[in-house]
Amino acid sequence: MKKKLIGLLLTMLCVVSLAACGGGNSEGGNDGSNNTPTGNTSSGYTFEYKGVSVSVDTDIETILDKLGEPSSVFEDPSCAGQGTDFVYRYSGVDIYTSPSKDCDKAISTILIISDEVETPEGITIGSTQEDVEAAYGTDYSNNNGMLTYEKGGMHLGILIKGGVVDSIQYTSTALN
Amino acid sequence: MKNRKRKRFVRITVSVVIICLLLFFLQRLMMPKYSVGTQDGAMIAEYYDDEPKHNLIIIGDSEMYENISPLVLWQNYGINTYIRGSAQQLIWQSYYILEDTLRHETPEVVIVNISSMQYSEPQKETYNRMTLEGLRWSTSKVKAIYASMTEEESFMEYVFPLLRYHSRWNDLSADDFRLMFHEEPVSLNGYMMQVGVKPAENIPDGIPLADYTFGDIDYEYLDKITALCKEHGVELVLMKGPSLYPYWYEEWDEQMKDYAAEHNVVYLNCVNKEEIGLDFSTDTFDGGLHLNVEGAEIYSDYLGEWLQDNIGISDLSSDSALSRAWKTKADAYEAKKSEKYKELSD
Repeated sequence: MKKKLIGLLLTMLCVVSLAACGGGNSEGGNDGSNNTPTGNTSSGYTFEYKGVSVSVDTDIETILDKLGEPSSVFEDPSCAGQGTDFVYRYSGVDIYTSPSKDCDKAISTILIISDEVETPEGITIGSTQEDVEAAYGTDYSNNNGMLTYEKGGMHLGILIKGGVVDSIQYTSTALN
Repeated sequence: MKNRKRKRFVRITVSVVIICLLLFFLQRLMMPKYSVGTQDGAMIAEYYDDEPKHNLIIIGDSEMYENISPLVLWQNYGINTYIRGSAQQLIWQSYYILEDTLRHETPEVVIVNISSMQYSEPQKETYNRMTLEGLRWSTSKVKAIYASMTEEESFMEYVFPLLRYHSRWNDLSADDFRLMFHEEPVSLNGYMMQVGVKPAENIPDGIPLADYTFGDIDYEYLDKITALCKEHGVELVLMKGPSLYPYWYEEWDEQMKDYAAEHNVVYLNCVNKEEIGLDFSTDTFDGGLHLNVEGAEIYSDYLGEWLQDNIGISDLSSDSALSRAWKTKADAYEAKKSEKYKELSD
């Protein structure tokens, strides 16, 4: 009986140990991940600020020096220490970052907030819907005036209010 | 022949019992110990250690458990409060926590934090775990798990957490052995005390949305919360805490006002409410997201007065058993405050 019992216990421990070698995070999926790819290039729409290419799902740390000093940085630590989101404010644009699988500050949203800046395609706050369609085409979905163009795993959202552009947002689809 | 069969039966039974015991011990060992790790996961379970004689239950996320001091509510207004809070608690989780609570007691008033109305889908396994693991097993817990699981999660991993946490074996510390069967409390009646000052500055405006309407599932569970409170004769208060971020849109505020009027419940929005008397240059420890202990005490004082004036909540300060219990809690509160200040200055 002893031998059988020891054999059984050893088998059980082996199973648990083997299982322990399997994948998965050790603490309830505590990886702070949005599963966003990172890098400096994007096949989606890209914003340009002072000649610097800014794309969602890329690491802001690689371009921070080139963007210059932000007018403010807001820190948003998530509940229970699951990483920190940041909002970098530059003249006319806010850049939001979140922790991703590959880096701590993956760009999640680029928000154009004034007509001081425009997209590389020439659209800014106050442009007309006709200007938007001429620049980006008509292959968009329209949800309550938010024209959403999808390209390369990201969204470009242009909110039309009263016939003119009210907000321009480059957004990672990892946020959906 | 009979003897052989009996011996075999005994052998198998003993083996099964030993294996079950071993697996049980392994599971207790491998599970994260929230009291020494991410403490936000500890409070849901701590509720069961307090005597269920609360006349105020508060349910919600960190806007509740880091912003409200039950001690102030007791000392200034005789309100016996417990906060059933957990990190990024979703509205359906709040409902099932309410269901669970009403199995233990019937408070006069329940406050539900409605900032979670902005989420229509489960957010993250880590948050689910922090909310659900501490709930005692019941049909409410089972339903809460099914309502909350992300695609990567499985129900069996909640039933047998060893399946989920087996890979912690190389992270085990002395605390995992020490706290296998009893975790140290981290909160005072669900309040997680924070100290220090980080002024609120450069709070971003909300990103314009295409559609501000809360999701159908959010309304479905809010309806259930409302109905359950009415069924039990509990006064329901829907509350938005005073936190300045994440942004609380005016459109969201309007929806909550309309809901409250339509369903004859009370809605209290505390964002930028001057009469509370908060100063976000000194009363927050993380730049306006949550309050430090001084801020929590100011806010709690406001809330207690508001509950007395607007809801007529009872003053239980004449209850001698409760008074004795709160005296002990007050000592623990002050000790924790001193310890936290000391940690801050070190």
